[in-house]
Amino acid sequence: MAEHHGATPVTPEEATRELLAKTRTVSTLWLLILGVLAVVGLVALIIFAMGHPTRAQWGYVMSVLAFLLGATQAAPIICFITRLAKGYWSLPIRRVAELFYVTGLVTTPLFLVMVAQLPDWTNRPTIWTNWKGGPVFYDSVFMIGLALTGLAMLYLTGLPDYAEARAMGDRGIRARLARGWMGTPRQWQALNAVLVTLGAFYLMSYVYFHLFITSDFAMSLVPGWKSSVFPGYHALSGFQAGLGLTLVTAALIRKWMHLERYIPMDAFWGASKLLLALSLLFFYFTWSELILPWYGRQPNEIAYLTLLMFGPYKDLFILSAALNWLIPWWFLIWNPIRTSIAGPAFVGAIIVVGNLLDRMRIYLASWSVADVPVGAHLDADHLPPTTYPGILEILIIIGAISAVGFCYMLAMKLMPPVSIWEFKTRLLLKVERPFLAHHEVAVVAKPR
Amino acid sequence: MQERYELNTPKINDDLLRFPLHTPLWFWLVAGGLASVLGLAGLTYLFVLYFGLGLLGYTDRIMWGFLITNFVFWVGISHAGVMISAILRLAQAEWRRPVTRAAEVMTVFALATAALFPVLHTGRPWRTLYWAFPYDYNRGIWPDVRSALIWDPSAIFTYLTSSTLFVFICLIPDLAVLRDRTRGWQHAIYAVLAMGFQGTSRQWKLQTIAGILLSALILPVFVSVHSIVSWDFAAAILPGWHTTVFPPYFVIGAVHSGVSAVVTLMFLLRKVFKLEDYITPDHFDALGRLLVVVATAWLYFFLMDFYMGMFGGEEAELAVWSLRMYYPPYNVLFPIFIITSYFIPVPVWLFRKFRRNLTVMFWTSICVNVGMWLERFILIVPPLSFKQAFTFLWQDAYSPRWTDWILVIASFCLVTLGVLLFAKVFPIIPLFDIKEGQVLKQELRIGRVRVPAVIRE
Amino acid sequence: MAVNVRESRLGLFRDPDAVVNAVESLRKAGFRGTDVKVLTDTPYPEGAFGEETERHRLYVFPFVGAACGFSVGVLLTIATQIAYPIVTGGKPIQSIPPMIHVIYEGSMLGAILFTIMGILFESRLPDFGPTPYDRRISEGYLGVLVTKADGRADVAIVCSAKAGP
Repeated sequence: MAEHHGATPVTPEEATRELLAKTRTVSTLWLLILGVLAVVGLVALIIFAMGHPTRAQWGYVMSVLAFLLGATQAAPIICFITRLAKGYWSLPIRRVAELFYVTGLVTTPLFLVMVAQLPDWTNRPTIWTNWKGGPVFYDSVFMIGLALTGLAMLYLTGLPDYAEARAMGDRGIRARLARGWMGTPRQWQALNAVLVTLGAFYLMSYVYFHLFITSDFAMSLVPGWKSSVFPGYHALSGFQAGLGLTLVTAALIRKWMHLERYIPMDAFWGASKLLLALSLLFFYFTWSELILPWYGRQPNEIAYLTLLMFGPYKDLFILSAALNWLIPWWFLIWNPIRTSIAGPAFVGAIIVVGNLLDRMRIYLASWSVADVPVGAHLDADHLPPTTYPGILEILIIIGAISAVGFCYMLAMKLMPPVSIWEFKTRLLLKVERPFLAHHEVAVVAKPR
Repeated sequence: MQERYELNTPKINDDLLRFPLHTPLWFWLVAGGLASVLGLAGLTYLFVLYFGLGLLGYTDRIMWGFLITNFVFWVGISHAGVMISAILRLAQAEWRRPVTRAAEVMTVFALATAALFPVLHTGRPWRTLYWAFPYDYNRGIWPDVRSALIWDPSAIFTYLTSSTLFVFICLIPDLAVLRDRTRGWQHAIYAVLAMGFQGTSRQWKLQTIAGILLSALILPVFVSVHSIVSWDFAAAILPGWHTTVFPPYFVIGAVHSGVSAVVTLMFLLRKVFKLEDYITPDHFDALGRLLVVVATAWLYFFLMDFYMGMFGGEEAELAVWSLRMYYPPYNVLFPIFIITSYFIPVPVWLFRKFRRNLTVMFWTSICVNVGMWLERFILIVPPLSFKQAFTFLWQDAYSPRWTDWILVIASFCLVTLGVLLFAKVFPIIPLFDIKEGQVLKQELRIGRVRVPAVIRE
Repeated sequence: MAVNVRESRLGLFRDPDAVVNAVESLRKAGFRGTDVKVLTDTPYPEGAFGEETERHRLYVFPFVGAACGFSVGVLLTIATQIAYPIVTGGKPIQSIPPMIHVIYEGSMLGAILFTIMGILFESRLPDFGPTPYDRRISEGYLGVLVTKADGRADVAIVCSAKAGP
């Protein structure tokens, strides 16, 4: 239907001027608030570390790290996947997702702090067998590599927009970042090729990195826990939260920066179908994780199932299942909710909260038994009690999330929240025409 | 799609109804040949029934060999239909049009063939049927819902019924065309099947919604079927089987082998029925790109199974992997499977030149299915060698016999014959889908280039 | 759909624009939207000929079907486990996780079966009664069917003739 397809028509020149102007309207107040919260979080982390906390208490720091490594670092992957599949519905929200590449600036130092908290690795079950340097060295190298790749992607996707800013008279940092970009056909071809190649590399690194995170920071710490679907589950739930986060951010940016003409309902509609599929897959992977140890009923299986799902973290498990699967599924099966902006954004927000709770469940449970001697067995009837957060842990969580928000808003001062060059692409690829009795139907180009 | 042909309705009807309405000589020869092999398989199975399961290659430990490998393989192939039809329909991919029905039909026959094997492999199929069916038969024995082997019939029955009805519903408009083009007894049969379809706006709207709604409903079933098949193995506490990644691993493997089978099928349809205007290199290009993604995802899950096998260094688990990779005959089969499933086809598919070369696509798709059949075999048989110790063994290593080979080859003939018979009676490429593609076809001028476009509702 | 053949008039066109003109003319001549139907051999975008949007209640069927399938699944699994109570691998007699698989499949089968029935019902199929139709519609012609032409058959014919080829 024509009314689904529409932002009010805008010319490429108008779009360039308006979108570049938006970078000057990034809220200084919010930047300040997030900055202060980030600093408070950092101070809380220092005080926390100096207080010699138990490994179980470090579970909260690990939870927020895993949440950021999942949700925020997965968000940009949506761009790559839709670019590869030529899903042009995502063009309006790609930049919103790509800006999350800055997360690497926050997660990398936090990761290095956490990797230093791992217990003694001698004879511990691990994917590194007896390689020297595992897990600390390899995990750290991978983390730094992932972060750098993300920053490189962020720079590359903004290149044409920096050139637009330079063309509009900007003589500052954006003009310098534009380098020699002139928009020749060869440069466009090279840019597309690099975005696809580097994007594929980022995606594969992200997925493999979740193998390292889940095995080194969770499974290796819990005696008897060995689940081959868990890395996939962790990566997938990260994608789900990343897409949810992108939708929430896009809805907020659309409203606060008055970008209704640039971020139409189509993008939310297209994303909501993917979000529904990911929510169902969340249930599928969780079920795969649950049914086998339940069925096998070996003592170690009963023990880790109780620890992770039916024991001290049962409430978190139930909440996580509800927020990541049941509620999103129930909302997203209805067409009127999918074909709106508030609907997918609301569901996205629920999923983001659910993802954080799910990470808490996993890492609080794992780190609470990290000091059990290697080779010992867990007893399902004698598991450690639930670890509750203190004020420092809460400030660290808020601080870490705020730090990402701060970096995100700083990046928005450089790059417009809607990609100018991708918006212009959309203008070329989609027109409205009369067809028989219809005054307007959307006609979408399908170039190679 | 860059390749656009001007196709009008009479031409579409003529081209796509040629085989259902006219019977060439080769059809009788091919159908006869396939039926002969099936007859031979029937005789073979009668021998097995009479003389017992000793005629198959089973050992005291390895009670699941070729027949169950074949079962899993065909369930895998059956996933192609939903993958192509449902997912691409929901994604509004225009290139799906000529491919959907063939994939759906292959699903139905592959699934029906697969469902035979668990029944056949027990040696007393009548017992299997009344053991699985919830009816008392005055013995006080009921199916044990706690067994993964009981989940199988419910899943396969649901998937088979759904797929068959899906094919039928989407066939109705084409049955109406066949009704209008035939006379006599053929007309009477098609008229009954078409149920009075006229092509009103209401009927077309419901056809469109049916496609989308049924796709959305069948997709969860598609995921559950092969997951449940995987739990036949994973639920057993056998090193090498008892691993949580089996459900997604099996499903993605099924998609990999199924979509490759669709490539094979499309090549054969294009060649045999001269459908060059409908099945173009663009379709193979799109399928090839899809396969790269699917194959890479499959490799990821395989590696997860492998890494977690190494994780923890459990002796039994390491022994299974060791048997799979280092001991004959698996030390030959394992590298063949890995190379043919991934390391030959995927590097080839990365190049557009090869994706658009139909012969290359045909042979790489065959390569994949050889590899995937071996994958199922290597997955199933080696861990069984490590089942509970016996005080004595009459035979240790599994070795398939002539009965196993005949039954496996016959399964390929059965699916081929099923698809051929379907194509003989109904159009294997959906007429209305192709015509709809022509209606929605547009062009956009961008600078000096004319870019193909499509109307989006 | 039960249509009185005698009161109906079917016009055949080759050009879709002519069909648009015909439908518009018939509307202006006072024929109701529900009495004018367009017959095609391929789906066109909804409302492409200016015909009335069709309403349906197809979405109710999957929910009803799923509920029925769910009930059957629950009954079957509970009943078989009670009727033949054996302890398998330490699992309880009424084991919920395995039941979920059979219940899920039952629900999906119910939903799909009822959806199929709903599609046929809402499409008003099967309809083996005499209905105005022409075989040429399968060859690319487009039909405009006026189901209650009554005494205004001549008006319907004129509108169709003026619309185009």
